[in-house]
Amino acid sequence: MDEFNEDLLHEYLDGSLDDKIRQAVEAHLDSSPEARAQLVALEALFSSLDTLPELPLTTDLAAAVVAEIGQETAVSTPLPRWLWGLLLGQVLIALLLVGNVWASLLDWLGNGRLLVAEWLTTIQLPTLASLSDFWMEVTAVWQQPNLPNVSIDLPAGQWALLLGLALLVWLAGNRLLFTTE
Amino acid sequence: MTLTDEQQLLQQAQQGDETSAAAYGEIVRRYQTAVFNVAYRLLGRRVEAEDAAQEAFLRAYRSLDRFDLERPFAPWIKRITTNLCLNWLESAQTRTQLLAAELSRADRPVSLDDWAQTAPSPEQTLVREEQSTRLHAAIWELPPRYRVAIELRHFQELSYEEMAEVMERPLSSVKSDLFRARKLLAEKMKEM
Repeated sequence: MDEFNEDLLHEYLDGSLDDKIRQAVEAHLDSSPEARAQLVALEALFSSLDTLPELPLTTDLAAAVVAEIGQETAVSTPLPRWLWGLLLGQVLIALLLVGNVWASLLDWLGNGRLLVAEWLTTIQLPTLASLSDFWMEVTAVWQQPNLPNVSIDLPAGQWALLLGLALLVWLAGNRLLFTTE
Repeated sequence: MTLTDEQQLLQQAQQGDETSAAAYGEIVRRYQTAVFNVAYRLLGRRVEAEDAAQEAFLRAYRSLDRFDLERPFAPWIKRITTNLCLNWLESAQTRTQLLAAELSRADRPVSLDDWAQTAPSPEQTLVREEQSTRLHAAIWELPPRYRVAIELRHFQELSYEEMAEVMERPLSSVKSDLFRARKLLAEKMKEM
C-alpha cells in the first residue's frame, strides 16, 4: 500500500472504510509488522475504553429533578376557581369601601386641585400660567358632576366586622391563610 | 401501536399534568447513572457532573413535547448532556473553576474507592480498577474537544457523521480530533 497512514487504521477499526480500501489495509497489515503493532496498540485502547466501568451515582437526581419541575409548573398553573371567587370578593369589598368615602375623596381631590392651580397662578410666569390651565384641564375629571356618590352608614361594630372580613378574604386570596402549602 | 413501558412514561410526562413530574421522575431514575457518567467522563468532577446531569434532565423535560416517542430516550438525553458539558467546558468560567479546584485539590477527581462498589472481587479487579483510574485521568487531561470526540465515538457509539452534527464541526475536523485524541490517550496510558 503506497499511501498508508495511521488514520486508516482508526477508520479500519471504526468500520468506516469501503471494501477496496479495507482490503488494501489488511494486505498492508499482513506485510508490515510496524503497522500490526500500531493496530494492536489501538485495539488495546479500544478495549480499555469499552470496559471502562460506570461510576455509581451516590445521590438520587430524580427527587431533585421532580422538585424543580414541580416549582416550575406551580408558577404557570392557572388559579383555581375558589381563588377567583375570593379575588372577586376582594374587589367587591374594595368597591364598597371606596364608595363609602367617595364624597370625601372628591372633596379632597377638588380642594387639592384648586390649591395647586392657585399656587401656580401666584407665580407670575407665562409658562406657569399655561401650566396652570393645563393642570385644570387634566384634573377636571375629579369634578365630573354625574359621578355616583355612594356612602354606607354603618355603626362602628359593623364597620369593624366588615374590615375584619375584608382582611380574611385578602389573606386567603393571597394564599396566606387556609392553605396547606 | 403498543407502547413500551418507557414510551408510556414519556407520553405521560409529555402531557404536562399532575402525573407528569412523577412519570418523568421514573425516567430520570432509569437513566441517571448513565447520564451522570457521560458528564463525569467529560467534566472530571463528581459535583459538577451531578449538576450537569440534573440540568440535562431538566432541559430534556422542557423540550419533551418535541421528543419523538418512536425514538429511544437514552441517546437523546446523552446528546443533551454532551452538548451541555461541551458548553460548560468551553465557558471561561468553568475553566477557571476547574483550575481553581485542581489547584486547591479539595475535591479529588477520582479514587479507587469510587469504583469499589462496582468491583465484583477486590483482589482480581484491583488491576482493572487501577487501569480504569488511569484511563479516566488520561481522558481528563485531553483538551475538551478531544474528550468529547472520545465520548461520542466510544461511549455513545455515534458515527463520524453524527459526531459532526453534535459537535457542529466539519466531518474532517471531527475525524482528525478523534484520531489525535486516541493517539494522545495511548501515549498517556504508556507514560502512566
